[in-house]
Amino acid sequence: MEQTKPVWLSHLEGAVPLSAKDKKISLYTIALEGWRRGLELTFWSIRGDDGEFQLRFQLSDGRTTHQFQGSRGDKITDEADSVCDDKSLTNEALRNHGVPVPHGKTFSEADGDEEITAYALEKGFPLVLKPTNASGGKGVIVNIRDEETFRRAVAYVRQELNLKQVIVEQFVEGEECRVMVLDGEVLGAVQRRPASVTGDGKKTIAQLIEQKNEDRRQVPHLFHRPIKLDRQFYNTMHASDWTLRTVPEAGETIIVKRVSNISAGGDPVDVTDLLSESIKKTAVQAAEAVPGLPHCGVDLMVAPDWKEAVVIEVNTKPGLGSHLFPITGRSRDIPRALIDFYFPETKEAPRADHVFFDLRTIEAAVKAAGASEIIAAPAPYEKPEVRFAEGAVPGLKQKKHRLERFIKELPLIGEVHIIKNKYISARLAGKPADLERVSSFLKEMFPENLTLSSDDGPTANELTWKDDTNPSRVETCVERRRLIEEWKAEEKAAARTAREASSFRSRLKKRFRRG
Amino acid sequence: MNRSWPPHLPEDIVRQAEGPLLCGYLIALEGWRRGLDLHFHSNRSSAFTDLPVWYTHRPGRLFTLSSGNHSVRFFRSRGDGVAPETVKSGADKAVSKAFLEKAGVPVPQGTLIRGKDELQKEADRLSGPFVLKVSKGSFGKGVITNLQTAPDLLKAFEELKKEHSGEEILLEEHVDGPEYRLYVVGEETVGAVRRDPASVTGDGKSTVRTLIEQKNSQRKKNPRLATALITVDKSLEAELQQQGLTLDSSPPGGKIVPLRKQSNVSLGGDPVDVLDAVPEEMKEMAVRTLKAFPDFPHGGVDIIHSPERGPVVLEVNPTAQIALMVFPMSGTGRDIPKAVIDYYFPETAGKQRASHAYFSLADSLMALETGAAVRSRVPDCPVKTPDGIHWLLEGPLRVKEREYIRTKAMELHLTGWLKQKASGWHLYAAGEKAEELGETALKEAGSGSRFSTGPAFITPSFAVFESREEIMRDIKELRTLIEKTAKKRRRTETILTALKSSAGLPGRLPLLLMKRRS
Repeated sequence: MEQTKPVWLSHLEGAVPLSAKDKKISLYTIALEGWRRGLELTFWSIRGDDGEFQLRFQLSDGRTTHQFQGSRGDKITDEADSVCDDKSLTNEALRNHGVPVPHGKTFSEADGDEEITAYALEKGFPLVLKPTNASGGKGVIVNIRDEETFRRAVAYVRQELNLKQVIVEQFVEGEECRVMVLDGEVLGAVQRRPASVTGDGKKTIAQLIEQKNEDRRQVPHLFHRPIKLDRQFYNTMHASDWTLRTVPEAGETIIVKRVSNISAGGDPVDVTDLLSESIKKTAVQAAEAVPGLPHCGVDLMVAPDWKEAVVIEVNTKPGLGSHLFPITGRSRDIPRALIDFYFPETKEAPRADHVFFDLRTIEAAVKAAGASEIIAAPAPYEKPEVRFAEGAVPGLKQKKHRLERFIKELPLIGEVHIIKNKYISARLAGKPADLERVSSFLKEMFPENLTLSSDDGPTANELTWKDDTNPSRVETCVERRRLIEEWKAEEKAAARTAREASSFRSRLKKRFRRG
Repeated sequence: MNRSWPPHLPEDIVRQAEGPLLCGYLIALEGWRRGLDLHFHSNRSSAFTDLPVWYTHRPGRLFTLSSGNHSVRFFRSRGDGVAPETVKSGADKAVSKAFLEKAGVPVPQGTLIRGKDELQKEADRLSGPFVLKVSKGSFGKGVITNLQTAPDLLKAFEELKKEHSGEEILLEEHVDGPEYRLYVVGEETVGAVRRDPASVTGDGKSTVRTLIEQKNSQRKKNPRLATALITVDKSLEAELQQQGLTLDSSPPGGKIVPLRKQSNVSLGGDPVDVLDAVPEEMKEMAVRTLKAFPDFPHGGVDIIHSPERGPVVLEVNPTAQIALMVFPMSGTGRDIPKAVIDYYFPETAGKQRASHAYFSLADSLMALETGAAVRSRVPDCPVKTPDGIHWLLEGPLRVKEREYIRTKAMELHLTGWLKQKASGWHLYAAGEKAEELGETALKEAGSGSRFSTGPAFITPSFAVFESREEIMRDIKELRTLIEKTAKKRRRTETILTALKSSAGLPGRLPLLLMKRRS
């Protein structure tokens, strides 16, 4: 597979702060689009299942207000949501509306495993078994080809996972594809390709994976989602003759995992232009089949010839990251279409595409229960000019407090770094007159060694003051919170690896005991 | 020292808001405890553009309290019932004086001086000694008192002209006597302190320098005075010199040594509560003073009580410090915030106040600090006083353990806090499953004990209070922790990789390998 350079949206380049990466891409990009059009952006908190406070937001033009939860807006009714939450209800709605779905049957808690197996045998393999109300692909077992595997799958899902209500469906050969539908139109389609690396004839698979992971960090929603060397990886390697030390030939693409989940290292690929009219129609019909569902993500199983498709699932809250930042293909601006739909009168409004907001302090305040509602500072109406100043300036230590007050009292945004009380690096944006005032102030305060220049590019709509010898409370709190999250994620990964190792060890032991 | 402060404003709670944020926090807390909605604003907020405000680059000074459709904006202790013109008039001593004279409130005689000739002429007309003031000065700056002779007066005038060029200068007769700060809300004087200039009292042994240190450590225990310590500077040394003393002199026991002329608390002065002792006449004069200005429902009045002339009003303070009356150096602390909120929200007066609740100021201001937000709402005040359990946790509580306790508290939906105090980490939790949290915490801490059960001051959720030093230590520790965990994971991964490729090896070799390497 040839990897062509993707085309991303220029107004999102460099505009997704670390705090919005990974799981908050949808929330962030929708909020950003509305905010840039001058809508009032308010965050508030709700308490999650774990008792922690989570962010929700709303956009308002003063007359109408719309609330969002990830990519789900309030024009999606609760009824639509509960239909999409339950795969058997979804199937029923789709079938009633004449939307092609895989043939299958739903089994309730009362049905016995034998009954389910009997249906399977009658239907014939290959089959899919899935629970009706599990999310994220949990408990979905595809391509079951014989009775023994089917029985094991039933036992696993119904007993081990304790998900009693299941669907047995014919397994449709083809490729999975996620289509975003809004108001009767297809906005974009993405596919997840299994994690892979492409050789250069020199590097080993291990080195290629490392390099690929480095590339993935450039993709906002893949920042913390590298290809991990986990069980799926080893199973794939084991099934082939490869090891981590294998050197693939130049141009040779090696699929290192069979599953295609983004979180497992899969690649999001834009396939919008590959959709046939008939597939598009199926996706639109699927959305229309559920009342009160003006927009959604439709999961399709597309036939190998890309002419027809069946609907597998309908999502009210699909992630937008893959549409916005595909590894190949072109970005589809779903946030823009959504805001056009919710606030049609802002369609032509000027957008402050040169600024973005950062979630870090907002989220930190909400998580610490310091705030229950936060209004983001409005986007500056005019495009700010950007200036850059840096240098090792004498007397910085004595002058920095005066400098801080002077800059903070002006309506400026940007970042000031003071390093070891010796070096200053400031990137400030604002109105030309205010920047001029800062420039003359700086020149007067630091006549030597300071270089001033103009700059460009997006700027966060806040003033960050970082002083390494005297860090502010807010900066230390925010940084600690970020590190705590990172540490927790690392602990989780380590625990997974440890589990892997211990299960491998016990398998080995068993083998030797037998032998 | 004989003093009592309001019991609903304990020191460790109000100490979150030191210096310029204290007065605002006291008012905000009072309103919030009555169930009013509390929002803090940044200086980018458009809600305050018509009000005179200053030094708002750090948040905490601008907030609104509201109930239903009734909303009041505050800048520190000043509500928006005080007219902007009155704030401007209050900041100018000459303009204030004109208002007061017109209303028949006694003021020191005096006038604005434009040049040396005028100074001479006016000095001849009035009787000395004199005071020279920069008309728009504050915090006791730009004031030179007790000028006895013509050369002194001229020298002082030149000095002020040089230091405050372009500012108007006021010549007044010097009125001698104790200085008072009264606080008026509506028709009543609700607080009165005598402001004694900074001083120390000798013990017959210690030097003045040591006595100042002792006095400062006493001031550090006072939420208002902690940021207004006595600093040794030239004017202080000059004052000592006039008395024939130096910093190394040891004044006799009981001898009061004045350190400054000015009585400002910010210059080390002592606020002493005298509300019950001042004559009614003075309290009434303070109420009349506010009435001399348009829309001035609450504020501070500085009065000097001359033995010859009786009380004379020196100036008014629309944005007065109220904390010195709530936390005086001696006497009774007065509940000024209550009076202010009673005035603006009479419907909440006398109703229940959740005196046990408070909020973390730093956390509430977090999103405003960088300007990312314009407005931040404080979570609603918990209404009931639940009985909780208080533990003292022994042994160091590192970030890992604290985070674990916090997560658990959130999961159990408890209210309370984990606080770092001199005696160690204190945990307080209220809610059905408080016991469970205690068990977790004691396990995490290694040891500790439960020392009381009952009501305590609580936050709306579960808050962790730690010093900035502790947070910085945490950051270092977390970086090591992440590094360590990642290293361990990578090692296990390497072993696993090696093992998986050697799984075909004969006998127990792979197992032995694994044992040895992990």
